[in-house]
Amino acid sequence: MRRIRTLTLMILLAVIFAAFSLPTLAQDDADALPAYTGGPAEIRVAWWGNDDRAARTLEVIELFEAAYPDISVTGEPNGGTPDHFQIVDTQLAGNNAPDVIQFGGNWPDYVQYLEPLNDYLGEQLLIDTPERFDQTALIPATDAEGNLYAVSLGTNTLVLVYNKTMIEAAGVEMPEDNMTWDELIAYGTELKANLPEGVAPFVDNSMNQANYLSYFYAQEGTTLWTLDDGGTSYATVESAQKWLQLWADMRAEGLIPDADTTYTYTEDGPDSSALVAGDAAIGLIWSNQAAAYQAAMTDELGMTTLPAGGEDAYTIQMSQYLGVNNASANKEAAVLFVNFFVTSPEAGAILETNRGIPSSPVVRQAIAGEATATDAAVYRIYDAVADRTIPQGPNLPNDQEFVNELELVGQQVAYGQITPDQGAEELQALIERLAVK
Amino acid sequence: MESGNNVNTSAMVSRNNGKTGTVVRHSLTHLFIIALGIIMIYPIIWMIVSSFKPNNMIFSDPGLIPKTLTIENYISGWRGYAGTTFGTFFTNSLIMCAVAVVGNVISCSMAAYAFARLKFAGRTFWFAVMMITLMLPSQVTLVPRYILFNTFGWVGSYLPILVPKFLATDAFFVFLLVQFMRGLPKEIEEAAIIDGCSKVGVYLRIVLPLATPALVTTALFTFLWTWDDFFNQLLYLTTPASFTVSRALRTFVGDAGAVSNWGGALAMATLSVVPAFILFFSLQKYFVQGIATTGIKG
Amino acid sequence: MFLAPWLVGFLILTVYPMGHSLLLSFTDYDFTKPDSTQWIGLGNYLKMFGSLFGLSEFTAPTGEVMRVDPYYMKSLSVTFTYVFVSVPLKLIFALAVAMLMNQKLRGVPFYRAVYYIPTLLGGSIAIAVLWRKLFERDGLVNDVLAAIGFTDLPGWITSPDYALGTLILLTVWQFGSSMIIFLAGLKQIPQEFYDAASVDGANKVQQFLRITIPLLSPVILFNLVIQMIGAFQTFTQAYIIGGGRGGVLNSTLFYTLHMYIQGWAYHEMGYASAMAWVLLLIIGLLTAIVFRSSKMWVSYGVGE
Repeated sequence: MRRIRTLTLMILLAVIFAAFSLPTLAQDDADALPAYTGGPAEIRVAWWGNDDRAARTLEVIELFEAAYPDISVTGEPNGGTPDHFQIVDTQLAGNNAPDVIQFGGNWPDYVQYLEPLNDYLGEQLLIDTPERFDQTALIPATDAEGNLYAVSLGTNTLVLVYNKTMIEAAGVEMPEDNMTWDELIAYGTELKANLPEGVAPFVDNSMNQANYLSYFYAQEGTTLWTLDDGGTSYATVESAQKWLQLWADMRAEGLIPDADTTYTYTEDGPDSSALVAGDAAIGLIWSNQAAAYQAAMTDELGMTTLPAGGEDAYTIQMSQYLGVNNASANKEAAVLFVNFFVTSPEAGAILETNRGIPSSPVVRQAIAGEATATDAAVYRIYDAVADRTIPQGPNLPNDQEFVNELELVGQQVAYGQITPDQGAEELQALIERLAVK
Repeated sequence: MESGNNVNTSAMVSRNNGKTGTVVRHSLTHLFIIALGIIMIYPIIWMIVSSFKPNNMIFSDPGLIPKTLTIENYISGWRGYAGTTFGTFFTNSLIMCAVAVVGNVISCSMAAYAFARLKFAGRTFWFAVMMITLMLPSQVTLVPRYILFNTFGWVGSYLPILVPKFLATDAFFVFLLVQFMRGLPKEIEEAAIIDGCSKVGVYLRIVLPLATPALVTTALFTFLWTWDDFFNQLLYLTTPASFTVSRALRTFVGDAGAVSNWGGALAMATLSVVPAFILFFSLQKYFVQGIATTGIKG
Repeated sequence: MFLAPWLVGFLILTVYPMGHSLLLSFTDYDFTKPDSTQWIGLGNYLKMFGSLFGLSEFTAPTGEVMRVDPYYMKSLSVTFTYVFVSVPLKLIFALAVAMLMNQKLRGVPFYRAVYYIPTLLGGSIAIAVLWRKLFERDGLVNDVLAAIGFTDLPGWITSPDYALGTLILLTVWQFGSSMIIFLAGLKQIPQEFYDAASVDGANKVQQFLRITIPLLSPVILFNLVIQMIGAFQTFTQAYIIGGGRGGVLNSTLFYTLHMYIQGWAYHEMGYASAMAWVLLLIIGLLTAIVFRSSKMWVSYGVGE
């Protein structure tokens, strides 16, 4: 079963890369935008992200309005991810939420508010053919009954970025792809011996990136959350112990910065990051953030994979989704917007890889000429992990609470208030509690 | 003669010593107060000055004297986000505060007039009740009010913030006005009543004009507090187009990860406190009066 | 009737919500799932104080297992620390500076204005944001301290030991309004008292203790109560400094912030309501204690 899945994924990836490198793919008529049959409409679209993403999104909105003069769109950037969901939660409960909302892997938490999109496929939502849209991108957005609730905005994955300039200055070789955890730690130790005082080899990403945790759990065979039986977690306290102990050891060896330094940064993006500030040499980010991180630093950044080991755990994720509010007064207009966003080459040219590698071959082709060195690095990573990827799994329910509580446990361990073992128990209790909430 | 001179001289000297001592003491006091005062407002001065520095120099060159002056931060910050400029945010804030002021002035003065001048059953009791609401932490009514406003469908509009102003829920101002009205001479009102003026007439033509200073104080603080009332704006304003300046600043600054334009943020922050400054400096005496009467901590 | 608006407001916006929130505090009302609300009696209250009884979980009347809120006590301790440190500091500063200004100096109105500015602006979100930036590891405060010669400076805002301190500093910085009240009060003390005391041989300290404090005591009481009530309700600054959460290790998890997160981020509005009522009780109790004790140290007449 696993091999078939892997094979499918390899074929998928091969198709993706083939599409990318062979510009002779047959296309639909480029301006086959579906017609709008309703009257004048106003829709609202909400997302999270920084100024750069907001600027791009607003440009796309303008393009859309030009293509559909009867629909006017108000864009609502909601700041960072937690802010976005707090605002959206309140709006949804108060029944005045936007028509189109950006979600992450937590879209299942919102199913009760989302419009199933199956009926729009082929009509307003032209993502039902592989030429226009990767059909596998529909899988993680579909529930167990086959209802499609969200549309993928692109793929990304977790990567480790490293400060090439700093490592070169230290006289150490660049990290290789697919090192194991042990190799990575040995590499870090070597790096530490040669880095300047006060600079750590790694950023402490133990508890501020829930997906790193779930990656490790998958490697240990204790997947954090699956949809089996309506939702099961296989997490164990042993995995938690191993994870926390791993990072505690690193902290003791000085391979990650001390607690005070670590928590000076929120690690949400390049504006508050130990890597960008020069306090660490290697950090974990999402591949679609790579361009932003590089732009924030004068040093050169390189990219490599997460450590290998245990079971296959790498996921090429759907980075984000757009969902349509089922209380929207203008569902057709909203769906048309989503369609435009993900399938229009012009939109793609503006968005580029800000939200991930686009899931539409048409769009990928349109931006192929603009691919930067960072994009090429991302494709290389996809390639390098091709034989240990798994399909994307769902997020743990109550995602936001999980993220918050995770950080708190991490802080307690980092400051030595509790031991890693105690932290592991708390972590396990947290997972179990949120799984049934 | 010489002794006379001596006496005069020594008398003069001793008087001078006293005066010199006081002068020295006063000078030191002045110095201390000024020094402490500078430390007190240093952060604000820094904020204002930094808003005029180019973005990349704000933190690399944090002194008070900028090497270069620019207004680029104001331009870039003004653009706001979500395609909504701070022009919209300021307009929203101004209109909202203006309406709040009108509401408060009307309703609180009405209630104060009732408590101060009208006789009705249980007046002392109700007055005491009102004073108790003064001490009530707002959190106790927070959740149900939110649910209530949600049921009305008002969440997402300015109504949850403004309607309470028309219902005299700010006991501070009722209290302030009551104290003031009680201090007004009754004779004028009594004379008017004898002349056939109705209660309403007395209220409108005599009491209100006489109570103008307190009304101005009410208006002033209502404006200021509504402008700064972050929490209610956070709760009830849901679309960026409806955001006020305070609310917009929050998203503008947001998580540490979402800000790259600190210059713009500081510029808009500076602008956001301008109304307070203007009001304060033009109406200082009303501020002091308001504080002294009700202990408003701002 | 003139009282109509106030009465309507009072009933609909004060009385009814209070009753409703009391009711909610006995349920597990979740804002996003209103139909699954259940009565849980004192469950929410046990959730808050369970750790005092050594519990970490308990079973509610509905049979569901409820977890004691591990951060509730922390929020209490953070808030209490904040109130009991910042309020006295604030009042001491206010009184000290007011006394300084009470001498026959020129330009007092100007100084008064300058010292009031922090209070004027302090509650705004702009200042909270500024404060956060100033006290970061690479912020202005550390730049100044480094220039003086301090080394190895922590990030005050992000350090679990100092973050609360920066917030205390922020509110003490706003002592202006208390100062103005003290000034008004000081001006009402006749100079003759001090003169008479000097003649009698009392020194400055004795004059302070025997004249100033007793005659100022009603004003002190007033300021104390007002500032205390206000301090318990602090939200905006804590929200901004902690980035919408409680700060590193929850070191700035103010009570109202915790309430907000529970109610609006986690949708546990029944629990948030219970928290609000406990806050009311705490404030009421402390205010009553202060008033009670005031009989011992506050004198309302002249010449007592």
